[in-house]
Amino acid sequence: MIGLIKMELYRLIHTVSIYVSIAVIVGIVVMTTFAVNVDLRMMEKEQKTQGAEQIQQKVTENESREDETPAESFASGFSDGFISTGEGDFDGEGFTLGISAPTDESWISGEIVAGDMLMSELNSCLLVVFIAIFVPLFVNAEQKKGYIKNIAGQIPRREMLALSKLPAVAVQVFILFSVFCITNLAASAIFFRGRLIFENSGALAGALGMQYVLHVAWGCLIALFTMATRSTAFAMTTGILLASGIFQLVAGYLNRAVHALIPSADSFDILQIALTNATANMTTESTLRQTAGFLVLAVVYVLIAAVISGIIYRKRDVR
Amino acid sequence: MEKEWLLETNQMTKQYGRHKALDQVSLHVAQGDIYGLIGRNGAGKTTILRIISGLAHATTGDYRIFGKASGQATLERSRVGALIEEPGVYPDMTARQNLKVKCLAMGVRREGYIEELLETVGLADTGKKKVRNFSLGMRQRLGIALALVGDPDLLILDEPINGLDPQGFAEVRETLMKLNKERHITIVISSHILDELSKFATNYGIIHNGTLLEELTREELLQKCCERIELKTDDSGRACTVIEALGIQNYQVKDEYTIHIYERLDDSGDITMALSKEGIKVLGIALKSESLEEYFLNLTGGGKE
Repeated sequence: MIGLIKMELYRLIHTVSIYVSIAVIVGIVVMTTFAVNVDLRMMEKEQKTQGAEQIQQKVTENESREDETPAESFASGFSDGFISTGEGDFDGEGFTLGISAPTDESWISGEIVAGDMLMSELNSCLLVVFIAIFVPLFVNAEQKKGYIKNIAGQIPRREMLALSKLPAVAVQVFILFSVFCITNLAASAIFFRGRLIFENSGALAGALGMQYVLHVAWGCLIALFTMATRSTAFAMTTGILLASGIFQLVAGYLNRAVHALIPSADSFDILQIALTNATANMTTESTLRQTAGFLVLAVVYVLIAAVISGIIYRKRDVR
Repeated sequence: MEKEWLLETNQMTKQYGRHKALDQVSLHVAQGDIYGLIGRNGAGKTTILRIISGLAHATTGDYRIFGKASGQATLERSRVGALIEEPGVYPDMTARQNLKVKCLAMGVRREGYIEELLETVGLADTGKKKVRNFSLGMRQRLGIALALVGDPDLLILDEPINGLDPQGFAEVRETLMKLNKERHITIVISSHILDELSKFATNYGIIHNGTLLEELTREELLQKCCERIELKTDDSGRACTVIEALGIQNYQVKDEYTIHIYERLDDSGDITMALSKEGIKVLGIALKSESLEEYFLNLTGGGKE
C-alpha cells in the first residue's frame, strides 16, 4: 500500500497537469482578487457621487442576498463580474446558480481582513470547481493511458489501487489549496495595499484546516466518480454542476418529496449533507458544533469514497 | 507421473453479455516454454491473456499458476509480468520515469535496477527523451521493460510484435529469446502472425472463435508443416516393414492407410517399386508441404469465417 501511495505521489509531481493546475489557479485567483478590487473602487465611486442613501440601498441589497444564499456574487456589487452568476428562485427559497462570493460592504473604504477575504473566496466554491476539474485528470490518467494494465495484475489486493489514490488526492488538494490561499493573500496584499490587515489568526487557521478537510472530502468524492465511471468528462461535469449550485435545485424537489412522504421529517434538508453547502458555510465564525458536524460529514464522504471505489476496483475487470 | 505445469487453464470461459469470448479453454504452459498463442484478431487471445495476467475474471472455469489455484495465488501474482495490447505508458514521462513509477508500486528499490532494465531492452540511451517521441518499437520495448519490473518468472505479452518493422521485430525477438535463455523466464506471447512467432516459440496454442483448437510443440508443428512424402497404401503395417528395409527411419504412421515419410524425398519411385514387389498396393504417393500459415488456415477453416 505504501509503495502504491509513493507511486501515486511520484506520478502526481511528474505529470504536467499539476503544474497546469497551479498556473490556472494562480491566474484565476489573481483575476478574481483584481475584480473584487475593481468592484470595490466602483462602489466607492458610486458612494461619492450618488450619496450615502443609495449606497445604503446597495448594502441592504447585498445583505438580503447574503441571507438567501451562502454567498452573493463575487461580482455582486460588480454584478457583471468575472464569473457570471445567474440567480433564480425555487419555491420561494432563493438559490444561486454559478460561482459567487460575498463582499463585505466595510471593504469599500475601510480595512480588509485578509482572512475574511480568503474565506469568502473559499466559500464561493471556486476551489471546489478547480478540484472537480483537476482531480479527474490526475485520477483517470492511469486508466486513460493504460498504465493500470502494467500493475493491476501484480498487486495482490487490487482494491489497494483505488485506496492509494485517496491519499494522493489529499496531497493534490493540499497543493491546490495552498496555492489558492497563498495567491489570494499575495494578490490581496498587492491590490489592497495599506488596507489589508491580518487578525484573529487562530480562528483563521482552524477554519482553513476545516476547509482543507472539506475540500479533501470533495476531492475523494470526485475521485470516486472518476473511478466508478472511468470518465474524466463525466466526473468533471458532475463536479462542476454540483459546485455551481445545480444540486440546490434538485435538493428542493427532494426535500419536498421527503416532507410529503414523511410529514414528521419537516426539518429534513438534504443540503445539510452536501459537501458544497458545508464548504460555503464554513467560516471563521462557525461554531464548534457546526465545525464538528462538517468534520463528521467530510469523514463520512471519504469513507464512502474509499469503500465504494475499493469494491469497484476489486470486482471490475481492468480495461 | 502427470506433468507439472507452470500455468494451466481449466475449461475457462469468458462471456460478455451474450457473446462468448472464450469457450472452455484448457491450455498448458511448462516452465521455460515460449508459448505462442496464435489466432486471428478477435479469436480470444487477449481475453485469455487478460485473465491469466489477473486483469479480468473468468466467467466459469479457472486456472492454476505456479501450482496454485487462481483464487489463492495472491502472492504468486507478483511473479507475472504482463504487456497487454499496446503498452500503457505515460507519454509525458521519460522511459526511466515510467519504470520508476512501477518500481515504486512494486517496492523495488535496488540501485541501478532501472538502468539494468533499460539496458536489457535496448533503451539505455534514451535519456530525457519523452515517451511521446518514441517509435512504436521503442514503446513496445518499454512495455516489455515495464513487464519485467519485479523480475517475473512468467511474462505475458499480447501482440508485442504488432505493427513493428522487420528491424523492430528482430530486436524484440532477440530480447525475448535472451530473457528466456539467460533469465529462464517463461513467456506466453500472442500473435496473429504465425511466421514471425514460429521463429522463436517453443510451443503453440491455436485458438479460433474462443476455442483452443490445438496445442503442439515446435517440433510437432514443423513436422506437420515440413516437406514430406505422403504415402497411401492398403496396409500401413506391412508398408512400414518395407520402408524400414529401405533404410528409412524418419517416418510416421498417420492412420491405417497413410504414412508420412520425412527423408529421402527424391526416392518416391524406389519406395513404390519396393512396395509393389511385396504385393502392397500403393493407393497414392505424393510430395507435400504446407507453410505454417497454410496449416493455420486449414485448421481454422481455410480462411473462411
